[in-house]
Amino acid sequence: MVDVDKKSRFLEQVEKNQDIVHKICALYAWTDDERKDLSQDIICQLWRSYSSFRGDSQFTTWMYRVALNTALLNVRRNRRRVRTENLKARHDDIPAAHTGPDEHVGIGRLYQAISRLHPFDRAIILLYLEQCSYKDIADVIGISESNVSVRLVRIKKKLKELLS
Amino acid sequence: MPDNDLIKIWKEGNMEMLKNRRFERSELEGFLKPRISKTTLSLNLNILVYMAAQMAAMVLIGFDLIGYRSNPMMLKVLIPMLIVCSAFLGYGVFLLTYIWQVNHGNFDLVTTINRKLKVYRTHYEVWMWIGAVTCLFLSLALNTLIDNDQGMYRINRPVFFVVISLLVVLFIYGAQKIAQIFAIRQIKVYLTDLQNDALEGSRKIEESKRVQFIVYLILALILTILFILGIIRAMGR
Repeated sequence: MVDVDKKSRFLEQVEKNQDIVHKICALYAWTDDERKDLSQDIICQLWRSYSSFRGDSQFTTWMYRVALNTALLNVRRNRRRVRTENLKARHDDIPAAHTGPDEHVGIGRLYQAISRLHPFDRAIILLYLEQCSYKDIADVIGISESNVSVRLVRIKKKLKELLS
Repeated sequence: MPDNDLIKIWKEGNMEMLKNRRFERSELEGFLKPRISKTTLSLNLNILVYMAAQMAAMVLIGFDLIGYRSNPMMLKVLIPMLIVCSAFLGYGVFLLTYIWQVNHGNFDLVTTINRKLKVYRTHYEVWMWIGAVTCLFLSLALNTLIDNDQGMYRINRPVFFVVISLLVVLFIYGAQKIAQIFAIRQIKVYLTDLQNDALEGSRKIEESKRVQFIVYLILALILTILFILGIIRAMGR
């Protein structure tokens, strides 16, 4: 009974905040199949780690932490991504190579630009664009608030260069 | 472009883009079935197999202790072996718990990366040596059990025995290391890249895969030729 309650409470919270999963998948997975695969990995990992969520932080902050951990630390998937990125670098003038969410002008380019950042920087800029506080970003990534601020200046500069 | 524009594009664009990308409750529920990565599975399996070997060795040493109870020299060897085996088993339990915590824990990204690297760089390296010593203990415990001559066990050439035992440990460690070198190296390089804020190592590994494939092919060819030559020579005798 307790387990059923826990499960339905978890599903309710994830359903409400599922945008987080979709955004992370769009940044860390390359094709539709990979995105679906990663969504499943993230949600499964969230459920496995749910017992570690004690409510010290907001549910969304905890969700970012677990989801980003899963997306970044999947070595097999990220190796494939490095391979694809190498290929893309050689055919950089072919925008069709990116099968990501670029159907919406503006957001598509933004996703494309963020995708070209280092995986760690991608996580930081995602949290910044989601308007998380510097403290929350520091908590999720595991660096100091001043380091977040310094890195954000560098990442935003690079992002603007990529967008211009 | 002002920072606020970036946030605006992100917010409005995502609202539009994610409108049609919603998981239904039933889909989310389907995603909850556990999926374990191959790396975690093989790592855990390796630890569990050696833990089983340690338990088997402990049981055999237990029988040996009864069989050699009147031989003080053998007791001096068997009791430390039992203690070391229990320590190995304890380390195995610690390692499994550590890996479980890393995979289920609520750690930040940097801590998770550091802990995972610690598993591969330190704990797993130690575990491979432990595995090699475990195999030696297991075979030694079995030999002493089988060759128990009314509480006596004779080693005819002690120096040779020690040298061979050390070589066996080295060989088992080396075989394990070679078997896992590429998989573990890729994981370590990727995690180190993440730690160092770079992707150079992973890129180099991907780029060197073609060379690796050619080296494997040449090696396989040489070994096949040697194998065929060996058969021909054996048949000619």
